[in-house]
Amino acid sequence: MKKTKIVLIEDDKILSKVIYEELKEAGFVVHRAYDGIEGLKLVKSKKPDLVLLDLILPGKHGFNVLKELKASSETNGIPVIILTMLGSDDDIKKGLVLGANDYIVKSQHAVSEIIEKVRDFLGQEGGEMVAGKPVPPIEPV
Amino acid sequence: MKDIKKIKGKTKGTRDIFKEICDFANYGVAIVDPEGNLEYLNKTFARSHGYKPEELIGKNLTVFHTKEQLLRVNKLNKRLKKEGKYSQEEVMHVRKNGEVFPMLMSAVTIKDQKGKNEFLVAMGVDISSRKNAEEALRESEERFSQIAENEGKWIWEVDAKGLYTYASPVVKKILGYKPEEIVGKKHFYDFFKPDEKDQMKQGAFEAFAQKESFSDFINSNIHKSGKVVVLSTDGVPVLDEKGRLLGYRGVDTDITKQTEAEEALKESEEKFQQIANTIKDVFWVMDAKTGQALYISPAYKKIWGRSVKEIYDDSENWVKAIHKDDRERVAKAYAEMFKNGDFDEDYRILHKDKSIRWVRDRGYPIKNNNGEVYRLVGIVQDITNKKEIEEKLKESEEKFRTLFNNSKDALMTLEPPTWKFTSGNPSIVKMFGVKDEKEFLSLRPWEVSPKYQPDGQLSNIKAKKMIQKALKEGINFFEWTHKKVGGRNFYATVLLSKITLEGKDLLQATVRDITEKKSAEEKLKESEEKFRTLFNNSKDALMTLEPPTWKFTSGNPSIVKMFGVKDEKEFLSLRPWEVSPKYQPDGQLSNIKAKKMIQKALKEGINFFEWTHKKVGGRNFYATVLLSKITLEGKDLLQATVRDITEKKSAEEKLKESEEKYRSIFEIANDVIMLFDKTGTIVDINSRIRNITGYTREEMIGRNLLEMPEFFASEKDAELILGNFKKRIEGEEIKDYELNLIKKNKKPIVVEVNAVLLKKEGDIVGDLAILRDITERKKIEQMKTDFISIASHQLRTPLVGIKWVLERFLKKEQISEEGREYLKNIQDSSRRLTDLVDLLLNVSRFEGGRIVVTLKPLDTVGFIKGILEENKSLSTKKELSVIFEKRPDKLDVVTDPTLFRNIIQSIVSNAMEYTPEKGCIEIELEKKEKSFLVKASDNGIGIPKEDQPTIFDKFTRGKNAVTMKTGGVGLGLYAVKESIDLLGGKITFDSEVGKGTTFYIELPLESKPQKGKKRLHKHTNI
Repeated sequence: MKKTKIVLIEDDKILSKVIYEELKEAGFVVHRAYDGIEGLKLVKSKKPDLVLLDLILPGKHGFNVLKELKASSETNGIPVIILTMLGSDDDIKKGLVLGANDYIVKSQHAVSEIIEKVRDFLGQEGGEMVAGKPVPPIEPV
Repeated sequence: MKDIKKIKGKTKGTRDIFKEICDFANYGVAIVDPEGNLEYLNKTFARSHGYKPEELIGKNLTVFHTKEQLLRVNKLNKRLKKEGKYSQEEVMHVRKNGEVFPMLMSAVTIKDQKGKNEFLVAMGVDISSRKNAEEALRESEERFSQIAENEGKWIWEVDAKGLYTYASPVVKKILGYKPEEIVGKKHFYDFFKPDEKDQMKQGAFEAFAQKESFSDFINSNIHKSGKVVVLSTDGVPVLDEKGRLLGYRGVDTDITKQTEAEEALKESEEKFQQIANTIKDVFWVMDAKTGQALYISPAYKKIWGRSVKEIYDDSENWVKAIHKDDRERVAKAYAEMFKNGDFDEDYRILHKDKSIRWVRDRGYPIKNNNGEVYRLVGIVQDITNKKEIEEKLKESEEKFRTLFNNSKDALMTLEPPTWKFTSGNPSIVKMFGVKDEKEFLSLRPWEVSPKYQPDGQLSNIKAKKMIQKALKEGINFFEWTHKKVGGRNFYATVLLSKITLEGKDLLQATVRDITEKKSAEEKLKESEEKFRTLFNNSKDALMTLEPPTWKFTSGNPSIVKMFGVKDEKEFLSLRPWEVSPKYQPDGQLSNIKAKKMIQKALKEGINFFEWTHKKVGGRNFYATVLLSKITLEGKDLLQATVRDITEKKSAEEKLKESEEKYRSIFEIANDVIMLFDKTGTIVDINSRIRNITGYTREEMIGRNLLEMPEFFASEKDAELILGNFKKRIEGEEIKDYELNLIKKNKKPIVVEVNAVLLKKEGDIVGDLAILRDITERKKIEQMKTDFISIASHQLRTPLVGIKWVLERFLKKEQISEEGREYLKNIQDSSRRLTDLVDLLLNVSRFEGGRIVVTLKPLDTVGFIKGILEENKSLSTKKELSVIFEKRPDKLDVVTDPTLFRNIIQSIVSNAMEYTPEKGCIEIELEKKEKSFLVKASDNGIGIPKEDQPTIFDKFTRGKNAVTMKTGGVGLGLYAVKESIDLLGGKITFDSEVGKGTTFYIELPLESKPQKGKKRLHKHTNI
C-alpha cells in the first residue's frame, strides 16, 4: 500500500506552501517546484500519480510543461490538473485540449475545496492509490 | 516539297491545297531543313520581314534573329529537338530594313519513317502591326478623350513671385490680352477683381509657400474690356532639383459662360468622370524642344507603377521603362514624329512591380504660328489585356490553319453553284450535330445556321455575300453564328479560302467554335456600347463633318431637337451654315465665317467659339461650338460639340453657388466623405482621404472597393462596407460600424463608418459614407483594457494568498475570541477586495470582447442556494431575511456557470448591501417555455427615477447608493447587463425610492455559444 505522490508546480511561494501543507495533512506525498523547468524535471524523476500545474510560471509556461509531459511516453500517462486564476476561460479550454484532466480556479475556492477536488479526482480517501486515469490529448479541432 | 507528299501520303491535291492555303494565309509559313536553311516560305512570311520570297530561299534562318535573341532561339531549338515542337513563342525578328519587331512563332519538326528529323515547319505572325476589333473602340475612346482634354484652356507659367513667364495664346480669348502683353509684365493677381484681390492673392501665396498643387481654384478676373471673367485655375509647383520653388505651371479655364442648368453641369461633370473612369489612359503634353514633360495625367501611376513626379523630374524615366527589346524601335519612331507628324507605337514597358505591360502610345505634334513643332501631345493606353486576347485569337487562328494537327475545327470544302458541302473532316459530326458525313454533304452553310445572323441579316443572304467576297478577294475571315442540326446556336469563326483544283474554283472552309472566346469580345463590345450611350445621351449635339463639302457625316440623337430636323437623315444632308441665320451677330455672312472657323480648327487642331444657330424653319439660338480636328484612318475630319446656351443665367448661378457651397463643405470636412455607386466604384471622395490614409483623391476615384485589397485590412472589410450598403437598401438599419484599413505606408488604421443612401429622383444610386479615423481612440481603449487585465491578474495572486492563509490560520491555531474577530474582519475585507478585482477584470474583458461563453448544464436551484449560502455572513450580520421558496425543486439549464454566477452574486450582494438591517430579500425562480425567470426583490433604498435610465452604464450608481455606501464603484450592474447580453437574455427592473427594487432576469433555458462582440463604448471615462 504505497502513498499517492503529487507534484505541485506553483511559483507563488505562499500559495504553494498552503496547498502543500493541506495536501500533506490529507495524507499525500508532495514534491514541489517553483518554475516550469524544475517542475518538468521533478515530474520525470518522481513519476507522481498526479501533477498540479500552475499556468503562468517562470522558466517555462504551464502549457509548454503540459505539452512536454504529454509528448513523452514516460510521463504522458500521468494525470494533470491545471491551477488557474478567474477569467482565463480560453486558458482552461486550451489546457483541456492539450490533455489536462481537470482544472481548478484558485480565486474561486477555499484551499480546503481544492484538496476535496484532488481527492475526488483520484477517487480515494487518505491518499491511497486506486486507479490512475490518464487522458490522451484531444486533437484541437 | 516532295516530302510533303510523304507526310500526308494522300493525293497530289493535298499538296496543292496546302500550298494554296499557305500562299493565301495571313500568317507566315516556312519550311526549313535541319541546318536551318529555308526551303520554302510563303508571301506573308517574306513580306512581314520586308523581303520577297525568292530573296530568302536557301538563306539561313539566322538572318531574322537579333544578337540579343540568339540565346533564346537556341533554347527554343533545343526544345524543338527534344519535344518535336513549340508553339506561340514570341521572338523578336529583324526586318530587311533593320527594324526589330515581335513575331509569334510556332514550329514542328517532321520526321521520316526512321524517326530522323527531316525538316521543320515554322509558322509566325507579325504582332507589331495587327489591327483588330478593338481598333474601333480605341478610336472612339480617342475621340472622347480629345473632347475632354482640349476645351478652351489657357496654359500658363509664373515665377515664384507670380510674374507670368509663359502664357498660351488662348489667353487672348480669355482675358483679351496677347501673351506678349502679359509675359514678363503682369502678375497673376493683377487681373483679380479689385474687391477680392488682397484676399485671393494672400490665399494663392499661401499655397505657393506650401509648394502645393491646387485645382479648381475659382477666381474672378477683369478682362481687358473691363468685364468680369471667372476662371477655374489648376496649378502645379515647379521646383528646382533642391526642391526650391521656381514658380507654378497650370491651366485656366474660363467658366464665366458656363450657362447650363445645374443638372447639365453635373451631367457634364459626371460625363467627364465617366470618361476619366472608363478610359484609364495617360494623356501627356511635352515640350518639343526640351523633351520636358509638361503634363502627364495621373493614370501614368497606374500603368507604369511610377509616380508622375518621377517623369516630371527626369524625362528619361519614360525611356528607361521601355522594354529593352522595344526601346530602339520606339526611340526611332519618336524621332520620326517630328518629321512625319505623328507617332503610333505599341511597346512593352516594365511596370514597377516588374511585370511587363503592353501599351499603345500615340503622339501628335502641335505647331505654332510659324509652323514649328513646339508641343507634343499624346495618349497612352494599357493594352496588355488586349494583347493577350490578340495572342489568344492568333493562337486559335494558327492552330486551325495547321493542317498537321488533328484539329478540333471543322474543315470542309464547298462548291458552286449550289454551295453544298463536298467534303468534311470528322469534326463536322460533333460540331454541326449531324449523324455522319453523308448527312453533312447534303447540306448548305445556311442550313447549319439560324435563320438570322446577330446583325439581323438573313443567314442565307449573308452567307452568299460572304462566299462572293471570298471568291473575289481569295480569302474571307469572319464571325458567324451556326446552329447544330436540331440543336442550339453556337458562335464560330469561319475562314473561307478560294482554291483552284483542276481548273475549278471552290472554297475551303475552316469553322471554329468560339462560343467561349466570344464572351471576352462581348465585354469589349459592351465597353464600346458604353461610349455609344454617352454619345447618344449627351444633351450637347455631337457630330462630325468632313471635307471637302463639310456636310455633317454623323450626329447623335440630340441634333434632332437642337436643330429642329426630322431625323438624322435630314441632318446628314446639311452643312453648318444651313443651320445658321444668314448673318452672324458681328455682321459676317454665316457661310463665310463658318468656313473661316473650320480652317482655323484644321490649322490649330481645336477651335472654341460662340455661334448663332437657327433651327430648320425655326428660331435662332445661341450656342458654343467646339471644333476639334481628329484623324481617323489617315483622314482629317472635324468633330463638333454644340451646346445651346440660350437659357437663363441667374437661376444657374444660384445652383452653382449651392454646388460650390457643397463642394467647400465636402472639402473642409474633418472626416473622409466618400461617394460610391451601386457597384462599389468610388465616384467622389474629398481630399481628407490623404490626411487619413495617405492615398490621394485621384488615386481613389474610379476604383472599385472590391478591387483595392491594398486599402483594406482584409477582404471582409471591403465586403462589409458594400454588404451594409446592400442591407440598408433592403431597409435594414445599420448602426455605425468599424472598418480596418491599411494606409499607403502599410500602417493599419481603424475608421468608424456612418453612411446614408444617395438618392436621385427617388432611386438609390449609391452610398455616401463618412469615415472617421478612430485609430487613436481604439489604441487608448486597448491600452486601458490591457492594463486592467494585467493589473487584476497580478492583484489576485496575493489576495488568494491572504484568503488561504487566513483559512488555515482560523482552522489550526488556538486564537482568542477577540483575535478570531479581527481575523474575520481581515477575511471580510480581503473578500471584498477580491470581488472588486474580479469585477474590474470582468469589465475589462467585456470591453475587449474576450469573453468566451462556455456552456455547461447546471441546476439553477442548487446553484442559487450555494450563492445565498456564501453570502450568509453578511445577511446574518444585517439580520436580513433571505427567502428562496417560490421555485421548482430542480431546474436544469445550459448556461455559462461563471457568467451566471456573476449575475446572481451581483444582484444578491447589491440587494443585501442596499437594504437596511432587518430587511427582506426574496428570490423567485420560474420556468417558462424556452426561458427561465429569476426575480430578485428587496425592500431597500430603491433607485431614484433620474438614475434609472443609466443604471446599467459603467460607473453609474444611484445617488442614494453613493450616500449610503461609499465603497462601490458602479461596475456591478454594468457587468450583470453585459453577462446577460452574452447569454442571450434580458434584464428589467421596477424600483421606487424608499420602497425597494425588483429585478427580473430572463435567460434562455439553453444559451447559444457566442463570442463577446467587439464594440465601441463611447462614454469611457476611466
